[in-house]
Amino acid sequence: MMKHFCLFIALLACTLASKAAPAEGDSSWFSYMKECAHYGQHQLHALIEQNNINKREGKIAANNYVVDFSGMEPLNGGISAPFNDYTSILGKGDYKGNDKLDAATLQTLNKHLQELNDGTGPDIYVAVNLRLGLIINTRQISGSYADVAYGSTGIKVQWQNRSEVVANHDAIRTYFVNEMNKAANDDNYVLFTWGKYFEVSKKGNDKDNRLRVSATAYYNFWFNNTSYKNDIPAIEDYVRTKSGFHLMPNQTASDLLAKYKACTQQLDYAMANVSKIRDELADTYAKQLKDRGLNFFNAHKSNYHVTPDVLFRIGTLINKVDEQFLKVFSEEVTYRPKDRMERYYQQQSLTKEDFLRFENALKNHYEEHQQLEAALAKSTDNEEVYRMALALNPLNLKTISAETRLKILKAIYELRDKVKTETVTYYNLPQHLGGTISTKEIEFPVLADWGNHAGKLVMAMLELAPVDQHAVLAAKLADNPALVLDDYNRVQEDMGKEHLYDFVDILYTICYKDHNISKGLVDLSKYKESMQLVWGNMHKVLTSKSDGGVYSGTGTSWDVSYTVNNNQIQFKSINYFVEFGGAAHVGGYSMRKPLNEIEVQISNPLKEVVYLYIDEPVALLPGYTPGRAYPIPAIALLWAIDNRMLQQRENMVKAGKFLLDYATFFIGLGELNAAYKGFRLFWAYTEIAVAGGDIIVNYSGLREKLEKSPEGQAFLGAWDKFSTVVGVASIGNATYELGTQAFSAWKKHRQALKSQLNADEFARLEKDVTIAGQKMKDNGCDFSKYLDDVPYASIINSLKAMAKAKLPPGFVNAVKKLGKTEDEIMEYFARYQYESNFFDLIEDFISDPLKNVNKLSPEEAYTIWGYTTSLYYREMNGMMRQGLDAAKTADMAQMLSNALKKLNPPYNGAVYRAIEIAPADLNNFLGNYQDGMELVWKEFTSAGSSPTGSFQVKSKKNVIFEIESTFSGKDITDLADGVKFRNMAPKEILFDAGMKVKVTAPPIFQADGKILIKLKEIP
Amino acid sequence: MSTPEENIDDLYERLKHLVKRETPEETAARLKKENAWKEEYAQKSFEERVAYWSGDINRNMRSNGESSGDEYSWLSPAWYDEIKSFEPDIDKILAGVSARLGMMFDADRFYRAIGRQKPI
Repeated sequence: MMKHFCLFIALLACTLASKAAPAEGDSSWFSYMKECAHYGQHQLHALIEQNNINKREGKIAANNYVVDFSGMEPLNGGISAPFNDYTSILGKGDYKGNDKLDAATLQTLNKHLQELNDGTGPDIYVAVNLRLGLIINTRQISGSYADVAYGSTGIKVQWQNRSEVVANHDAIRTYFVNEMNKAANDDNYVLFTWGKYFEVSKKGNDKDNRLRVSATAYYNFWFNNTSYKNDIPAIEDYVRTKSGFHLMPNQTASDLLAKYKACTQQLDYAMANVSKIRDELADTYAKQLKDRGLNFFNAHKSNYHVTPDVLFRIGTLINKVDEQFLKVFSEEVTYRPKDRMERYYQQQSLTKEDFLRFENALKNHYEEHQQLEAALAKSTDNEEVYRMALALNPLNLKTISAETRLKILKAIYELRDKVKTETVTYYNLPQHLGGTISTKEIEFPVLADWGNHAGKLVMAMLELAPVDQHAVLAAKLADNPALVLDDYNRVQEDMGKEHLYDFVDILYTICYKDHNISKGLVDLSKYKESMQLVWGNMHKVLTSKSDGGVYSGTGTSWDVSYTVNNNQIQFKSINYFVEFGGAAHVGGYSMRKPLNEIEVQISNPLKEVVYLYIDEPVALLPGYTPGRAYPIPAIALLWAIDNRMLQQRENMVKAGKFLLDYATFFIGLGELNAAYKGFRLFWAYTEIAVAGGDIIVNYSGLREKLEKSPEGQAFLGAWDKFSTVVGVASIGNATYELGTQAFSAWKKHRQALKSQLNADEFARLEKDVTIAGQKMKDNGCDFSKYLDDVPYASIINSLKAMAKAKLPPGFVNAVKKLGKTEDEIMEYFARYQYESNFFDLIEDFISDPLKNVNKLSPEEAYTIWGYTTSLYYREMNGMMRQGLDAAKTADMAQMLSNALKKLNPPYNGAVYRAIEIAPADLNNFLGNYQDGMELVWKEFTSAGSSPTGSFQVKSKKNVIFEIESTFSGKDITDLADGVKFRNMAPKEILFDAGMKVKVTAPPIFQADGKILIKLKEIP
Repeated sequence: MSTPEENIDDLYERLKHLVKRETPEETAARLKKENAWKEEYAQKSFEERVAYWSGDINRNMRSNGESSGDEYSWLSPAWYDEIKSFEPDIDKILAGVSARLGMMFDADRFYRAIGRQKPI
């Protein structure tokens, strides 16, 4: 499984292309390239999904092109990094000083680099970087620009960073060479990448069987519905025969090897000399960084409220150019020469006219903004605040200061019930009855006064509507293969197309994210073939298709009968759009679909949101949910990547704050809420939303009442400090201490406050405190002891029902045999879910083929994970160790053993485990662990891939096992409670019961009194 | 130290027919690794230290639970004292550990095992 941090970002190629590889801090351009390669790999995943390539078979049955592109790493990594910076690398041979590229090769490379740089070369370059993955770079075909990078890094999980790659270089090389030899011949196209799913592919040149993991696929993907589709064969042919680089069909294995060797030499040299190279380039990068930073901030200063404080903190992040940057910035604050702005936009390939127009628009927008925000700041009426906020920027609340934003969010909270009621009655908020969504049901946006943004207010409320209302809507959409608006013209005329799209987007978002609508708005195409059309009425419809576009136009909506479910005929009378003639693609509107399927095109990185997609746990990023996407400002992400902010934890935190500041300007309410559950980096800003919605004690009248009593004052005093810190800072010691104060104050004064407040007020306050406590707990600070048990008990009861529905019966029965009652089991997993959101994670694992690569059944997955909890493992192991109660342990032991057998490959390498042997028992114990002796460990045995700190301090653990795992030890990291929730260092290895070990050396009596025993697992 | 009632030399004397004593070179190599660990640890932030000890304690609880059924018997006041000697914030850290280990953790037993009063 690739274990990488993947960024799935959709960016304008030109924007990405403008970013050069930086050289700050610990980052090297290798790391930068690696990230680009990861990014590319994710894109490749997406394309493979898109093209239905059978990745599960571990093969790509494809017409792939292998082009050895020795020395093209700079292009891969920096994309538009000045190639001149790298040419010095190309000429220096490997790190031993041997095997320099010959002059002719170097000349060729430089020529193509130059061509690529100035646009004079062939239209398409295809490149494979044998170390870092496959890069495809295309440009300027029929006037359309595109740039995409595919790649992967490392053939094995453990070789992810540079030092490991260096350390394992020979093994990597051997692997690669072997695979290359096996796969390459003169008849085949070969794709080499090093991810698990993209092993060597070997396929005859069968045109009909070609899949397009190549530039062709790219063009198919994007241009299939355009006039370019007719060009695809020509493009394909061009790629294959006319590229500026060698395509593999006519290459022999020895050619490949020679080219690979050349590539490897460059990388060897570069890796061995990366610090030297970095130093050599440091001055250049520093200058680029400074210029880019200034241009960036110049652009932002007029566009958004970038406060001096933010700028100062940003400045401090740029370590090496800190001083220079602040100096120049201080000049820029007082006067901002227009030529610098012009230069910036020139760099973005915009004309001066573009720049002036944009600047003028910004100026007008900014002035309007200031006026509205000033009025808003003065207002004390929540409703007015909210309406003015929406007028400022209806859905996204962009360009509003954090302080004002918080005020608005508080106002929303105050108004939530009221507005909801009002909108339901006044605007006829849809109650989702009947079979289609009609204009009756969406009358509210039609009736709403869009000029005053009331419609958007209603849509915002829909977005913020309770989950159960979303569920109703989702259920309604679930069986509709298309969203049908039965009077599209009227809707569009009244709402305006833009608003209609917003509306559809919201419908899609709230339904798709929370309710797995497999059909709904997007999955239209799969039903087409089996349809029988019956004459229907003319309608105008809006559809959104799987390519992410929204389509509209004149068409006929039919009553349709269709077949589904393996020829079982179902008759449905629905409206279905059949396009003819006038159907038109109305744009790549960004539906919020799962990001591994669709790119979101960003037309303006200054304003739009991109999605950070992380598919695996990353130690540096605790708290997010792997496999989910989190929205962040496009420009902020670009900036963070560009400045290597994702390299170090300290900088991560700073970058997090940086992003937070921008997030408050860029990200809308719905996205705030969506992001809340996951990404801890965004914890601070999401807590602002939480503060507005859940934590801040601000509802009308209550605060005043609390302030009238000493208890209320004491509570508010602690609470306000806590909320303020939560609202502006990342989690840490200070937050924990303030949280303790706040929750202690609550517990201390709870009874007194209860007597001072009416029942509703008190209930609301208590609910908010409970929610705040839970959210803090989610972030690692448990204040539950300060909270009342009643809300907790209520939640647990509902979660018990969830547990009963989700736990596989076989697993439950096996646990029951171990002596647990069903109620105990459900109670345990209810608490577990409450604490950890366990079910989401395990179901995500089970259903994701990229994670569940061994195709564990739910029962098997639950069995492994269950063992890693505290529910039964001690009792089970105890019975097995002593040979007692086999009837009780048999089922669970067998299930766990079977599940472990299914997990492959086995873990190979040393693992560590420390145990406690009573001093009086040491003689007997060591008598069984003499050199050469063999033993059977009857119970299941876990171990870590590295020792822990407690191994070396004075615990009672006096025996340390170093075990060479060979075949029954399996890596259960993905299913281990300790790793997932308790920060246990990966990897977690679990050995099957009954493993045999052999002592391979005399026990060593360490100077600290601990005894080290070396073992090897034997058949 | 593994045996409170006897010093290391006495322990070795008792076990020497079953063990090979670590050579000075092996001791030096081990201490080098341990010092490297401590240096790396010293670079960690507060939150990273909470995370570190959460994982450490959890792993050792589990291996002890598997082999003896008791997840806490391996802990001792000496364990706490030694960590306290290089980690003055260990009390605050343990509060965070307690929260992070959640329902896998019995704070009463833990603090009893290390001879400390459980924080309120």
